[in-house]
Amino acid sequence: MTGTSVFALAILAVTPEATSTTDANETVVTAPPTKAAGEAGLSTAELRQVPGAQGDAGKALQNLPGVARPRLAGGELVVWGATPEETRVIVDGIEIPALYHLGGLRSVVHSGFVRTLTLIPGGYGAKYGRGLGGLVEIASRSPPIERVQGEVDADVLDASFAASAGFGNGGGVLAAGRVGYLDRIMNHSLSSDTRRVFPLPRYRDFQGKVVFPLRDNEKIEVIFLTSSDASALTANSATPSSSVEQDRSQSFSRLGLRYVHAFADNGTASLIPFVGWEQADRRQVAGLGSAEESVSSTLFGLRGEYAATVSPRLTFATGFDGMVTMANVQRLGSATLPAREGDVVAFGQPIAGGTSADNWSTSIGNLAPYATVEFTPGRWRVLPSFRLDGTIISTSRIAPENGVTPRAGSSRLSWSPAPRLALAHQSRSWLREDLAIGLYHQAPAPSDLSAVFGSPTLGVAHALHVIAGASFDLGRRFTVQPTLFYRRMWDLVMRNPASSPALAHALVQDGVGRAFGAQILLRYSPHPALAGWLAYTLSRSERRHSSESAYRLLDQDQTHLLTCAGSVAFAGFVVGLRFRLATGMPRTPVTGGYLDATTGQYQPVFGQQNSTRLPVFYALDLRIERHFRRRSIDVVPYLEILNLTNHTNVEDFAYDEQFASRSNITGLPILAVAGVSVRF
Amino acid sequence: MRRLGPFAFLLLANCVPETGNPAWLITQERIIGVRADPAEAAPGDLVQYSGLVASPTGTMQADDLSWTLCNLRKPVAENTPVSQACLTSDLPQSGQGAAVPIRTPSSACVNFGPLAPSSSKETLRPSEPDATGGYYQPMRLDLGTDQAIFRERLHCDLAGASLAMSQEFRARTTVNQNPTLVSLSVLVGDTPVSLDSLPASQPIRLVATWSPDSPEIYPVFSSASQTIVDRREALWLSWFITAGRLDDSTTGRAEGDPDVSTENTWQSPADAGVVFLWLVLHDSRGGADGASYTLTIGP
Repeated sequence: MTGTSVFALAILAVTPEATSTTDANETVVTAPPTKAAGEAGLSTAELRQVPGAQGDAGKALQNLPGVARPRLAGGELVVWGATPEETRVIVDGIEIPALYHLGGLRSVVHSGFVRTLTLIPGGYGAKYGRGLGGLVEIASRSPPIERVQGEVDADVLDASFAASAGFGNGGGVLAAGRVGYLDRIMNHSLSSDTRRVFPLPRYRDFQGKVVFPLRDNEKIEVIFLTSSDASALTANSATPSSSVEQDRSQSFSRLGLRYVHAFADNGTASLIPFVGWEQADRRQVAGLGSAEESVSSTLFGLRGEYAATVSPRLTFATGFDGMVTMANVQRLGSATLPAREGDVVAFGQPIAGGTSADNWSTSIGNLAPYATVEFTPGRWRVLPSFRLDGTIISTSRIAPENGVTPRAGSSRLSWSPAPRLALAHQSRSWLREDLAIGLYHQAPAPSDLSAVFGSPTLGVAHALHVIAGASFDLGRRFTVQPTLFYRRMWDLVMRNPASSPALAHALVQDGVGRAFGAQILLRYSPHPALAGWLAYTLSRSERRHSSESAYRLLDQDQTHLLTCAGSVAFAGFVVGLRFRLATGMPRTPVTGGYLDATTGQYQPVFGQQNSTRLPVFYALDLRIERHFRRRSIDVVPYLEILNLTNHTNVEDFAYDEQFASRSNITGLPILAVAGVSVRF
Repeated sequence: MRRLGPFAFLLLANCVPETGNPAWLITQERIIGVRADPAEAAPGDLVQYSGLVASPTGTMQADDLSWTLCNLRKPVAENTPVSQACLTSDLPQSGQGAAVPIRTPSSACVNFGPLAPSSSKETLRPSEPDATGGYYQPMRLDLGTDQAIFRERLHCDLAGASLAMSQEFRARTTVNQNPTLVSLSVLVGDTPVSLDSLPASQPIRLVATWSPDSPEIYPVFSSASQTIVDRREALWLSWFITAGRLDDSTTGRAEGDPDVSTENTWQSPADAGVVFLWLVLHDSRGGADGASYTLTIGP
């Protein structure tokens, strides 16, 4: 527990050791505070009953309180008002760039590879950093001993597998992967108008782990993670001013080692070096405007920790967390593409603005020593921790390319202290109160450090998290966990609002953000075959360009988020229902349109930024699965009916060519998804 | 499992909405085009601007058309061709009438060109060129509640280039000329028909042709690669009509397409009468030409 927030919301997938008689695929969902596996959770079967998740633990995470409903085909993880870029995803101590594939249909790590998947919306300990928002921490399974386990799954989206085998000496191998084929099934069938709204992604991923036991108290693991995504759309037009093309691809790989040594004095040391590669390309053409961006990154990470139990009431850990990212970036086209949070745009708006070009390289290094202590005087548990983030940011160019001026780069170092504190008080056997507070820091993205499109002098942004909560254990079958949260962020990177900005200052670091609200999680499972839970979040997330300007809603702000899920098992069937309700995301109203007589295209006139919203979203989803067991093989066909009531949900507003009238882009109507899982 | 693919497609196809009136349908007075002579002007040049205003009763002589130069720079944060403030600010009128002469501001290449505005504190960011390397002086047009903007292409010196590159660019560059609409052919099937006697409720092919010298070759300088490349103008046509149904609001030819004509299909109305058609030809450097036609649907 040391170094981890007491506010963790966890989906825990437990692979028991070979000596256990528990189903190897047992998965447990727990909520704060994290309890013993299985004590307050849902089994694998129950997790896979959650309609809409298709058995994907990462997708199930979107149902937890505090997580905004992503837009259709979006896949962003917005937690307590933090944008996706502000939340970090860690797999076995190795940072990866995103939890979801393009389009958000799947997570990039197969559930069969996962032992625990924990969402910490805020207030996490000093072990992790480099992000202003939440943390998704994934721990991989341990391979079995002298056994082969696995599963093969297929549905309309993709096919996947997960397999593991033990070497008999404590070592073993674990592998999982997925190949998506939705685009191949549907792309030829879709009209160009539909593909213009919903480009279908192509994705694949693979995860592998090999465990080598060295001695009784030592082991080393080799971990490999890779993921690849691509999506493309082309909407041909009778005129060059109206054609639309959009290509996007992204991939990452990680290769890491994890060495763990257990000392005789209850101490444990671990060292995790890793290397990674990332490639992200996007090209967008909309009529006369275009934008291209290519980011190639190589990164090196090193994480080490020593933890020891000094006494039954005192433990401590100290370590370091470092990562260097070296990126080469090429960008061509409009400075306002790709759009960023806070941009005022209307769906279908022609690309406007100028065309620029820049090639630059960056090196962003972060090394953070940290220490954390946990002591438990009486009914209290106190977890103070401290992290010192040293960040060096180097850029190859501080001014735009100029035919007569020599190129000059820059490099600067900053130190950002990150004190954090978590308190827990067990005032009653059934009641625990929690409090967490901490500072967090994040370096700018390499693509923001352009002298043309961004600013090479951007530094580190900061955030303060304050969280208070309680946990009522009203019997083993009913728990209630209310939480209050407040997050303030400053020195956020925003577009420069000035009409005559300084050279190499298209982005500025004057942005301020805040998010606050309350959430509650109720869980009730009166019978092993009957379980249900309810998550509700009331929140407000705002940003402003500077401390002088007024706050506006975050682009992904959702005031009310409600998810209810329940399932019942009988006669080999499992039937699950999920109901979701979410406030519509903010939009900037279009008050009219005007002709750009130079191009013949119409452009919108905007009202106050984010002053209106999409209508409320709600959907009822159903999942039915049937279990067949033959010897040691389980065959589980399933059928999901999404949006059972066929409610018309609005995913965005669309406008006519003159921006004179508005209509709705609607989401999925009632939709059936079928698949089968074979487990052995 | 595969059977669900088409099933899902049918459902997804419902997600894309049909939106209101198409841009080609003229139901009220509307500014549909602007032509500037010359099509590219240096700071201080006098430019003759002509507005084309369509109405359900034909081309409108828009004596009330108001012309306003806008010297407000567009913030980088705005994703529109001109500053939103140009649409909403109370700016001094520069002229009034269907055609007006307006002198291009002497500071145009500083406000909207590659020369950054002067500042005693710091070096300011210059404006960005468009994809053709062009810079533009914004102009607002007002006609009642209808608004439009026009951007006059500016003839400015090259910035961010070496002396040799600047000299080469100057030698290769050509000032933009307005394209020229040559003819409109009207066909039923492959048979030409007269504009005075068109069939009702028929798909009618409209073929517009421009002069061969309309798509000009012009050089574009890339500051990132410090190179100059030649490009050919793309041309496209905006179509406007008072009745019937056009397939497309705009049609045209990409810059690699040597064809000098473009075609649209018009479903003529069921009722006999007079229909007004306007064509506005655009080139990718901001040049324009316009024409109007009267079509008669026979009984």
